[in-house]
Amino acid sequence: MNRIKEFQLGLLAINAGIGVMNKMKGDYSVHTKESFRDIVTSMDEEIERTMKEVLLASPYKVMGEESYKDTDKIDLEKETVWVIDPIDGTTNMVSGVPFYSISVGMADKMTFPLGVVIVPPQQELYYTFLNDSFLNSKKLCVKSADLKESLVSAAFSGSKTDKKRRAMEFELFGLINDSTRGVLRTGSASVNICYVAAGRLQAAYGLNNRIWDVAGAFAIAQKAGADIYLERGQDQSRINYVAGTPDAAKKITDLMKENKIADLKLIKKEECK
Amino acid sequence: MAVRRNTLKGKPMAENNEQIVIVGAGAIGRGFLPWLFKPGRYEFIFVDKNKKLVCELNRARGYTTCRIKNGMPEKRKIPVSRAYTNEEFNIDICKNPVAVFVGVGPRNSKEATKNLGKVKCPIILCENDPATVADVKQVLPEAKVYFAIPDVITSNTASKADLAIDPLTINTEDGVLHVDERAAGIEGDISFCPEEELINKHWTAKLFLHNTPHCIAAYLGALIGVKYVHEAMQCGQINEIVNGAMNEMLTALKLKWVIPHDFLEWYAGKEIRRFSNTLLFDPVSRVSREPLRKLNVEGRLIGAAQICLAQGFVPNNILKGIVSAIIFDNEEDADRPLLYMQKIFHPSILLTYIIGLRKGEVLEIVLEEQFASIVESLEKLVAESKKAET
Repeated sequence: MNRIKEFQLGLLAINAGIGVMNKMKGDYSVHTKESFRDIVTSMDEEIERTMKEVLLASPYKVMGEESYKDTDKIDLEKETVWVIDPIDGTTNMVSGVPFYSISVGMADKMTFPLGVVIVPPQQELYYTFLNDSFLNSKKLCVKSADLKESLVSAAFSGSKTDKKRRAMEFELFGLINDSTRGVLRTGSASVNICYVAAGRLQAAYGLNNRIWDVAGAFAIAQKAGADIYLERGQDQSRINYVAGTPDAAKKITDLMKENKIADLKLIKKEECK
Repeated sequence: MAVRRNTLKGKPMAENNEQIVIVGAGAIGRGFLPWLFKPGRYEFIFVDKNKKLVCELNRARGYTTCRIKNGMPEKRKIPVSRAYTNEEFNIDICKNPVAVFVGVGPRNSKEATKNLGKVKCPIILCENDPATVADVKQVLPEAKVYFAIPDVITSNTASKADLAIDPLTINTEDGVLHVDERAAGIEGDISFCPEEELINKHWTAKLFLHNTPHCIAAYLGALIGVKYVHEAMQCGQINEIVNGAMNEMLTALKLKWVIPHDFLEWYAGKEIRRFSNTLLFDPVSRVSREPLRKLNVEGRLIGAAQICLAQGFVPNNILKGIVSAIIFDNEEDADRPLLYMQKIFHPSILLTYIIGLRKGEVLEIVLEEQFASIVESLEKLVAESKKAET
């Protein structure tokens, strides 16, 4: 399946999203969601509404960060759905930190065949086309790297997290930090994973993230030759994952298992040709 | 001389003969390069990813190349010692290789040379981008890899009449091959020159006085649906744009570089004559392929326009070339994501994210302002060309 029509729809959705972002720049309200660390703006909501309008021209359901409810009847194991994050890294955007994206991906029975992620402050567009991934006009191909030579980035959940669990996550963060060239926290899971595809980072991991943070970027990283390990979380939108070069991703996955943080499984491998 | 039958597993025919290996049996490799060597001086071994072509070369054990010299065709039958696919080829097959020439397209040079690790003789890259030398050195760090500039237009096909006699016939001009002098030692009609001269003089002229107007002619030709570059040049408006682009580059280069002006004038004149040469059968499809590569920020279109702007003038004809490359419409092209993007994205997104211009830089501002009107003028050109046809 070449999914060219879906690719075009993905581009249209991103085009609609970036149009709203350019129009509302500096003119939006901010409020909190699940916790004081979890914020949303009126721009997020407007971008999502506009992108959804575009994507609903296809036969697939749309799962978006701002409109999704746990009661929504979407079965990710069985269905093909569009997954959108109107702004991944809203806190960064509000604070003027240049790591945030608009992301659209397709989840097809928990595989990720297509993604388009735009990172406006860096003038970067990541996308998959057929079996390849691109950054702007450049084809991406992940190079192998040992864990010791890896720069990694982590993404934590903005939701309230149990103290004991958080302590374990921070311990893992320290362990990975000390086994690599370091672990960053950019504040945008999708940017982290796209950076893996672009060879800037060698691995990215996320704990208790949401599927809309990562669906588009998973497709991009995977078609660039990165390995992706994942595990579904407490509810169907939650996800733990590692994306990275084969060596780095495997070792971080092993560390997660050894430390009883998560038990991730490798999803279908794709070679970068 | 001990001669033995060449097989895929065995050595090439004559034990003591020297071989030229040509990786990429396309326009440059098959059409142009063999003319540089005296007939019989070297055996030719071809390597190509196209299995069908490899089979045909092995079956026919030769092919015809037709050189257009002083307006007259001159044919030569080139014997093929053996042809291999990239996977089959191993340098140990050659007893005495004196040089490996590579002409596979800049994007393919790394992949096409990755199994040449044991090659001791010079590897000469006849690609349209000096950066390919560094690319190939990444995969062959020990190899002697040099840049070469084929100053020639070579078709990857020929006239129907010639193809009917030999389906492998290929047309070429009587061109010149400029090669880095560190590869000197190969006997042939080759212009060896110091690296500095090769890049500063010959590459600058090739990039901006050949590649720039040549691809503009091809993109405009693609718009009006012609098959060959000379047919595009027969359209008055296209001819005017291509000549205009050439003059813009000539003006900019004279202002910018210390290259003798008479050399630049001579170069520009010969190029314009080349594009109109009806004997070359230079396909629009070949010259216009991979528009994203041709829209590289430092390349023949964007780089050319930047030089003109830096010299203080807006290159209106080159801008038309840039827009015609952006709206190039070929479903088969390797760069076809651009085809979908240009139909969906606003020009400001295309110019910054895809082409790589910085928001607010002069070229981005000028192109964004003029994009719609240039598209309109190109649509008009297409309509008028269709009207003229009927």
